[in-house]
Amino acid sequence: MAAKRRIRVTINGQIYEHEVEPRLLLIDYLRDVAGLLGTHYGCDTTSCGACTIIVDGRSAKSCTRFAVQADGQEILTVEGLACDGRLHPIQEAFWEHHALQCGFCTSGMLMSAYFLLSKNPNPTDADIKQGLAGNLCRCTGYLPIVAAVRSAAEKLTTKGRKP
Amino acid sequence: MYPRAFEYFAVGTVREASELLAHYADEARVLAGGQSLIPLMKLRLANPSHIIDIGNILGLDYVEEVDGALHVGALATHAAVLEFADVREGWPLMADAVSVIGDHQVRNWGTVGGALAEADPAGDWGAVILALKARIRCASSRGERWLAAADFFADAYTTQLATDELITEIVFRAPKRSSAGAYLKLERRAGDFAVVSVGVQLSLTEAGLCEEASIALAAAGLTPIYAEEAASFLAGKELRSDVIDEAARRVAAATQPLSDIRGSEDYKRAAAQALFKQAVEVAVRRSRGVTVEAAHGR
Amino acid sequence: MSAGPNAGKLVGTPMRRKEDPEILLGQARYTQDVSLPGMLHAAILRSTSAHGRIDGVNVERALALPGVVAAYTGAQLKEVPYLNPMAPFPFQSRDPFQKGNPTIKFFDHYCLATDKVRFVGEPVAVVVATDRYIAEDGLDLIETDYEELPALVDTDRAQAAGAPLIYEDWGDNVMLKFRVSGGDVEQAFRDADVVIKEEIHSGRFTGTPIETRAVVASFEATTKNLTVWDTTQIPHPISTLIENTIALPELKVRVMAPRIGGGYGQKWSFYPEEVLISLLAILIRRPVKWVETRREHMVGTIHAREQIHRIEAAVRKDGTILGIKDHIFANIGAAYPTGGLASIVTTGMFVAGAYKIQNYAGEVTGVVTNKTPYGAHRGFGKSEACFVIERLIDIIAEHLSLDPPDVRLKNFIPPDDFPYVSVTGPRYDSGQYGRALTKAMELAEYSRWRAEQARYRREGKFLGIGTCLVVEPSSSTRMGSYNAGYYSVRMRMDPNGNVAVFPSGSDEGQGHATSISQLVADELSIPFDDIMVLEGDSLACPYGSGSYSSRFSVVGTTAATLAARQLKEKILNVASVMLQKHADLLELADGFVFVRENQKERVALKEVSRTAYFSIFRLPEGMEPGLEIIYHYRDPNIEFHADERGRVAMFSSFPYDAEVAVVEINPETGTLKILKFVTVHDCGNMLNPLIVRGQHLGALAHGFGGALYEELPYDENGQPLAASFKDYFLPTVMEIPELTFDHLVTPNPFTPGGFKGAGETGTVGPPAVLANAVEDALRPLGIKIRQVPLSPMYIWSLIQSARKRFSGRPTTHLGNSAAELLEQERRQRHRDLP
Repeated sequence: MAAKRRIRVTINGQIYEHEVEPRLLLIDYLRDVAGLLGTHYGCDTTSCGACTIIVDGRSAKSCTRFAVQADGQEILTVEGLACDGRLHPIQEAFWEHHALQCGFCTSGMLMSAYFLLSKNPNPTDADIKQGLAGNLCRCTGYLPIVAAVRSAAEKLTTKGRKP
Repeated sequence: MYPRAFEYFAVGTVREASELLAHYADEARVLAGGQSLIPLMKLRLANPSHIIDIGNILGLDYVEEVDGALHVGALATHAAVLEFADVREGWPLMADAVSVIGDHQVRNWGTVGGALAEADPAGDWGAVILALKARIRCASSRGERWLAAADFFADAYTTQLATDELITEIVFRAPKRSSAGAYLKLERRAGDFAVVSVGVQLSLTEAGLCEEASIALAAAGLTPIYAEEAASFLAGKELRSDVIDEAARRVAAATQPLSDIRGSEDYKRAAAQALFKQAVEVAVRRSRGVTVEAAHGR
Repeated sequence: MSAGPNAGKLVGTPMRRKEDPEILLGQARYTQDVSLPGMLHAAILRSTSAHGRIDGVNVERALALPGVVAAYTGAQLKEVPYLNPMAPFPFQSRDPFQKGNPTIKFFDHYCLATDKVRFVGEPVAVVVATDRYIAEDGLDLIETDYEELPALVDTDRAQAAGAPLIYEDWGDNVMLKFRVSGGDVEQAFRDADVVIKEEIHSGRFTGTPIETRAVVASFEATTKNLTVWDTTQIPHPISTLIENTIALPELKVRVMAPRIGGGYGQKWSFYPEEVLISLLAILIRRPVKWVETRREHMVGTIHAREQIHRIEAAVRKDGTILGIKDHIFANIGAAYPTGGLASIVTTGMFVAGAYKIQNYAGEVTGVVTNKTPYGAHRGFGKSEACFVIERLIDIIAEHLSLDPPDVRLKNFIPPDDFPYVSVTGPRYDSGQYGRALTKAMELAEYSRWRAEQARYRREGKFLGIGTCLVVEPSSSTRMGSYNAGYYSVRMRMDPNGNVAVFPSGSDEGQGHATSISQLVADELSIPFDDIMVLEGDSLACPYGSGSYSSRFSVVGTTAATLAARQLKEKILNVASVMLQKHADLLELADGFVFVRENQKERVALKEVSRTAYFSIFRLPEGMEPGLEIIYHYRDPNIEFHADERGRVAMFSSFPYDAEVAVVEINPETGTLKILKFVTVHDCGNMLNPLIVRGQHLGALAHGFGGALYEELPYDENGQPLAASFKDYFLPTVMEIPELTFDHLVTPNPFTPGGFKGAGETGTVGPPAVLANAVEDALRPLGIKIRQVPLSPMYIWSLIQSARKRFSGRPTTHLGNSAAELLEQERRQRHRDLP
């Protein structure tokens, strides 16, 4: 019905070009067009954060953005965290601290943690909780995730690297 | 979860947007950050057939101080406002409020102009502009005008903006010496809409006399509410506990909350009083130079 | 060679999970990720009326929309000759216990509503299109015509004479009646010093896993094989249920549960969509996918816990509870085959809780209303029973001017009584209830808080302390149901010595692969990473009843252990032929089978395995080739047959949790702050302490949600008022308090591993302990807490009602009021004046 628009998006360092309907949500673009299934649908009221990704360096809920708005932007999804198959320190920390059970909210949590640590490399526990407050989890009770992010901050500081 | 189809325009100037709005009128909606509009479209509660994306208009996302006044571009994100170093110092009421809008994801993309234009009865920015007596610059292809905050809201989800008008800037006056403010929001859980929220801005003399007061609430009626009677009652008085109590009663009387899943009318009025008293206390301490974190209704 | 029998044991260690890297990398695949060539997308039209006659559903305009491939109404699907009404679940017959108790009424619901709609959210029609966006556009074009009927949302009104009938043929609105009794409750009431009567409400709750439900179905027409990917906890029962409902001759259903994003009971049910999507794949001859939106989930996925208990306790002055009578009314919603019936029967069995109460009469009435159907949720009826008995203990204590912990300690089942046969039949395996509660109170510094409370009260402020001890029976078996009483597992060592394990459950995040690998690695002395676990495939895995009731820890682990031992025995028997030594003289360790007394006499495990598969001429007479077995482990410590009083032992093991909570209440807003929260958890031995801790924390979070935040109110027209995450307040990280977490270990005496269930207990305590704490805080006002959640509005309203007895100045959390601050300033200025 509506005219398609051509968009050009960089995702995890790779350029994607497609024609999309304006109403296509960014999360559906990532999952169904770009084939990146790690970002998940958890709700329909922008509440759960399972769909969190990084757009131009800022955390975003990919369910609350149209793909056409992402034209020209740089996106990082969970698939872009690991390097050559090696887990990112944030992923390592989640693994060590049992910060995931069913794993469905995990990609969103990882990206929110990534954003937090990119802005605040030495967060207090209160900062960490604020940084995770936009992500819902029903399995872990959150405390292991907070511990994982704390540990990730230490790992990154020790390695002297940014997230 | 799946919006209806629409025609999409990505514009580069205010003029372009205004002309499209004039042309399509009720069929069109403006898309800025999308954090208010897209959720409505996904639930098919809003079904515009034309979307005008103003997100690419350059030069409207600034947050700057000009002669002590704070100028906020309409496309400045909530996060950008919070990151502006002097906000917490000069406009703590604003900092309190913006820090509890949604969550970091929403704050990174939602815009000040978008939030104001949405005119959600529970919208925190609405209470902020009322309490700080801001002025809003509105532009269209026909020209520009200024609206006082007090004249901005018409009804729930309705502003005084003309069909072809956009907000371009919001200006907050320079803070007076020995004036400070606080904003407290009662939430059922973090990131939620307010059960009720109260913003208080006070100027106190050295002797502890309240020169001027400004009080506004969100989620307390169909529009954000300015508690005129409570504010004028406080002006010129010593802030004794009976004075504060009476002001609190007047604050509650100014509200017209709706009973809903977050609370009954009576509860929200009572909570408004409690929040008001807490906010006064925080504002007083801040006016004395104490750094206080707002503990939102907890 | 290994250094000794316990060296390098993995069971009992907090290992990180082998499941995690795939998930962390974003490579894990959930049902919503399944994509097949030619796949179509379904969108379901749901009833917006809570109770109405369907006068017409017209899908013509939807069918005309480009991109729409098919659209169906309930009336049309009912015409499909091989479609039956939905087969019953979990009870397979109308008299599952074969005792006429419970009595159950059924209704023939089809996968789309036909004659009436009976709850908001009931599936009414379906559109299938090339993408979901278009399918939703199609929904907008469907015309429905309902004749509105009065809606029932309240169990009392639904049972009143003259109430409208939700199922006309029933003659009333009662779906289930169950009676269970033990001892002589009438005598107990005659012997009582005091009889206490209360009405206590348990609130409607839903577990909301972050993954909503989804079904993808693909039908192969020549073979009549139907493959269904489904977010289900019970792949095998669902395959059977679908086959019984879609009675197409030769239909063979394979259900695949890929990784599941949380279950908690919400995915232990038989749902209309599981039939509908399967049927669409058969009718349209293309794969069809449906992903539930959250809005659909809030009304179309089962709720739980809504019950009213009208309970009486016969008590002696010293606090001993002599007997209990309980009339339980469960708000079942519509009568779909969801499993809720089993849950409410369970409530009736466990009202005595952790206490030695041997005189009891319980009557359970399941009342249908126009709400979302009631199903299983973490706690499964026992959460409701615990809430009631733990509240009752505090109410009794108040009545007798005793301290609630003392009433608990007085009535606990003493440690020496275990295994303890409770008044309704279940056999509690082991426990140290007194020790757990005492430990929790020590960790919480109970006495110090009591002193603090006295100080608070002098200042007119509100601080309260609550205690509870909840027993959460796990691993259920039930006659006449799909919980058939065994756990099956297939285990294979391949020619290279790798082991594959096929358990009969599904994994919603519990870490089965890691747990099984720890067990098998220990039993067979092979590396953890050489073990593969494949779960959730009804074809590849042996037939079993699935994942529910925290049973994996109890019977799943035991099945895996005993299967591994059987496999080990076969390995040693094959090796014995190769080494020409009796199997009793052989050991298996570190990739070799060797003679215990002479370790140089050995053969590589791989050689043994290859022999079993490829040199079968070497095997002794009568030995089957290969190293693959299927093992069925029967649930221990249970009985199938209920007696004439309804008594039966339906649960294998009994984990428990003692909790103490300290809360402070702001009377002006009704908000509360948790100042201290202690949990002492006993789930027997712990296979993986990291996993146990995670389960318990997650369960506690569910508990906090139900205690303080989550509500599912309906208006009088049956319209749900919390139908999205905007209005259903599940906790964020900000709402979870700091916790003190400790353990007791009282092993399960019936299984080799000694593990009990770990995943449900945590959800049961918080509503009870926080209700107790809040009531304790507000005791000066004479306030009684009879329901959860303890929303600020609820607390505030109770305080308002008691206003006339409220004295003292309200204070703010920040200490000094603004007025005091300025007053201090003034005084200071006056003092400074010359």
